[in-house]
Amino acid sequence: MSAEFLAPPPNRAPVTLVQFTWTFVPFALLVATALIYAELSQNLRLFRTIYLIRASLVLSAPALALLPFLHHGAAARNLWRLFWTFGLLAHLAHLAYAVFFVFGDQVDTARIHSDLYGLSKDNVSIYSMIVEQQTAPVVWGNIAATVVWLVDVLLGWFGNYESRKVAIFHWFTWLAVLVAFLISTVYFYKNPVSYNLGIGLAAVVALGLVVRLFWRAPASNTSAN
Amino acid sequence: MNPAPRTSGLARLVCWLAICLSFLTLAGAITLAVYEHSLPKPTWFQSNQAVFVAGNIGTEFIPLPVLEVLPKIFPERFPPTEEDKVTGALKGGWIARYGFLERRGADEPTFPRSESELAGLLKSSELHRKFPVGFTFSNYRPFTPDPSPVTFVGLACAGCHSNRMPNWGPGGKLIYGAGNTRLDLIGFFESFRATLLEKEPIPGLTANQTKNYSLIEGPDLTPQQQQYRLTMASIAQARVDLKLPPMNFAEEKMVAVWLSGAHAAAERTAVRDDLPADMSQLMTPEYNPVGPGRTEPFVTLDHEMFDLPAKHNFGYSKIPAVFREKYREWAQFDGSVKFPRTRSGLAAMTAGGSVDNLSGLGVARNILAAATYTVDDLVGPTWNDIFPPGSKPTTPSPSDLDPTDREGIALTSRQREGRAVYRKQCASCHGQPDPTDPARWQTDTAKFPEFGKIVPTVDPFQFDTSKWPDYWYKFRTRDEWQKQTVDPERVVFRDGSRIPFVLFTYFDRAYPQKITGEYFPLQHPLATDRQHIRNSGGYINGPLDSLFVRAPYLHNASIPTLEQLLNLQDRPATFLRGLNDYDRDAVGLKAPTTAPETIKLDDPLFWLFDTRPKGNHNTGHNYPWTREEMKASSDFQAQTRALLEYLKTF
Ligand code: HEC
Ligand code: HEC
Repeated sequence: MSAEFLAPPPNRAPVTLVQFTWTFVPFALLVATALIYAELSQNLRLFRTIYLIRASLVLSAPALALLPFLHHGAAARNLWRLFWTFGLLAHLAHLAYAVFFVFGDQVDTARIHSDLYGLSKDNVSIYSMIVEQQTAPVVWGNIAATVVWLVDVLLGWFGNYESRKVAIFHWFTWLAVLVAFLISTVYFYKNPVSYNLGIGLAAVVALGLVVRLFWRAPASNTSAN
Repeated sequence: MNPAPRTSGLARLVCWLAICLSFLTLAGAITLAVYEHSLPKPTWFQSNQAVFVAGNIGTEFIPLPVLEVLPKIFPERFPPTEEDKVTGALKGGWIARYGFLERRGADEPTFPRSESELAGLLKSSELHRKFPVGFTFSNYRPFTPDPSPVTFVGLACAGCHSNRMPNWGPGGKLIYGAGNTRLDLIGFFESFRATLLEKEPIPGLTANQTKNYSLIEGPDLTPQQQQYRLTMASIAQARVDLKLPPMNFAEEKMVAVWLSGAHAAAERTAVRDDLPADMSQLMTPEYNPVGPGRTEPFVTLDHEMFDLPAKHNFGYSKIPAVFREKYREWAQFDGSVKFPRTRSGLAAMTAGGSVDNLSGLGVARNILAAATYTVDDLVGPTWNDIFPPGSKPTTPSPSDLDPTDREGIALTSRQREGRAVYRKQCASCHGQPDPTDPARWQTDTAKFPEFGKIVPTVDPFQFDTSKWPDYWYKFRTRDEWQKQTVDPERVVFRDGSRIPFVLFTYFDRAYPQKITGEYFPLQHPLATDRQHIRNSGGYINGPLDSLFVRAPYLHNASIPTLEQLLNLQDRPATFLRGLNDYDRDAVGLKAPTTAPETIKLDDPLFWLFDTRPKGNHNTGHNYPWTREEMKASSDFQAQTRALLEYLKTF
């Protein structure tokens, strides 16, 4: 079975207009909504950061659910690649907002009042503030997951799609990103919305796996229609 | 394997349309974000004094272009001001009505003296020169650390914590850190709320439609026939009428967003707060129980935290002087918060700050800087700083005077007598000026064992004495407690048992979901330890430095003069408040005890302080002797007179 999960996709067909539409439109609307909807909050920077990661989660969910179907056809593979890329872009926007605005904007205050941020006087930086807030393992876990995700997206577009190693890397990234999302939403319970999004993500991914396990057709050599 | 199914022309068109539209939406959102981040950042002051007087502490409540036209649209609530020919400052009108301190030019002598940054600001900034003391101008939207293309106006610490002494006449000196005894903060914010709720007939109705139905009833107007008085159109028109420059596109959009949000919030809270009182009602204790020089901090907290009407909270606080806060480990009248940053954050919160804007972009920094100013730098004036020299005759020190007694050298023999009384009767609780250096206050608890303790105002005898906290002053008998306890409402207000924890969680990141519905998951610079915030159960024994500036006395400002507090005179049951003159003999405010038949809107004394309702009691603190004991003993009177003379030297 695992061999089948790692089976190469049938071909490398270019992205069609319809596929691009189905992925870009949700991406653009979700990110625009994240940016604009935050205007209704009391804290643009914080809520843009929060809404962007939620957008990233929603965009990544189809990709995470689609990975088991990669060898089912070019359509599945392309949709996976697109959702995976757009999810990553939203994630990077989230990181930029968090690093440069949410934390970056506080550095000046933290330099003067380091104790209030739990820092020592000579160790005040965006990095130290984030570590103080999130702990080093979480920060480095996030950085690692982001780097792996970035590499995975590049492999998705430019890598050798027949390579078993690449397939293994896809699954590794799948696990890393999925776990990162679930830890930050479900394990570190923050608020009902993000918790429910995490549960929703888990459900969608589980559904994908179940369908993949029990619904064997269509195989790569049969018609999708 | 099948070739990919061909996409029809229509489908392609739909796809391209969807892509283009969503792309444009995204591009628009990104442009907005980039624009917002390019808006000017607020300027930060270097000197803590400038921050205290003019720094933004997250209390923005109105866009400047709207504040400028309120007198045009609502002249009955915001009477037009006049511009001082020499200084360009606004004075009179609403500024006088609500008790803000008009600016008197960059060179006005102040106490303490304006440091170079503040003096420079008053020279260079037209806005700061024009608007009253303690107004701030920033490019923040209310409640947020978010940028705004339009300038918003808020109150700095000095908006509440500054006053003119001995009075507000031309000779009055501006004192930073004193409590504003005239400020009618509740009246001001009620009127501001009214500008958001008041409606008028829409244009185009016939005279018949808008005429009063009867002597008693107003016109018969349906909701559709009325509109808000404060609208984008009325603002624009008023700006034209006043020859003010029109707002640009971005300013107008921001003001429109603010206005619709403010209208909605005012409508929503009207259910909780009722309709605002009208101007003559605001002069009556029934509609404005707070009056000048005071606030109702826990009503605000009840509103902000629990969204409750708080109709049964009667905790009134005088706006206190905030000199030499370093001697107050626990601050507030009830000694409920430790350390300056917490107390200042809470002050800003009750004045309209939110967990978000208090965290952001230097607002926290300002609050900490201002708090540091009150702790490290700000010292109140002495009698001689305010009253012409010679008004306190000094006698040469007798040869037997202790050479280390530098305080004694400056005292008259009468005052030295009074000092002996003070040391015997008062110092144990309040501490005393350092005899070797009168600029310092002695708080050493080895010498002044009750200093910093809480005098319980909840009945301590309802609890087993072994359970009393260490920090309580220990009354021996219930009778003694009853004789000394002052009005309890500031401590026993409703929700007083749960507010400390709720305030603690408001800034603590372990509780990201706030009771207010706000969500803030980050480390907050104003966060405090749970042990540093408490309902103490009473009032704190604090220092009495610059005592003559602290009138009227007690936490609820219920006693106009020291002479009355010390029971040398009857404490008045009612007295008039507003712009009171200073009474140098009695040390405090000159306050007529009966109101005239009618009080006019622009009378300097306009508000009748009635000490009988809950929260206003002037009973208790009968040190050294009760009024009855005092009346019966000429010796007591002589001693207390001497004490009064001595207290003038603080
Ligand atoms: C809206 C008016 C207002 C503003 C603005 C305001 N305060 Fe206050 N402040 C008060 C009142 C009223 C109290 C008394 C509260 C009580 O104990 O009931 C108080 C109490 C205090 C105290 C405790 C005083 C003592 O001796 O116990 C300090 C210190 C203080 N304020 C500092 C500040 C600083 C610093 C700022 C600016 C960051 C500020 N306040 C802004 C009204 C205000
Ligand atoms: C048992 C302790 C205790 C003793 C003894 C005591 N006081 Fe007080 N005093 C207090 C407390 C507590 C308050 C605060 C009451 C309040 O704010 O309502 C206070 C308030 C005051 C105030 C008002 C301060 C203000 O800002 O309004 C003055 C003035 C004062 N005391 C003077 C004296 C004098 C003079 C004596 C000696 C004759 C004295 N006290 C003795 C506990 C004491």
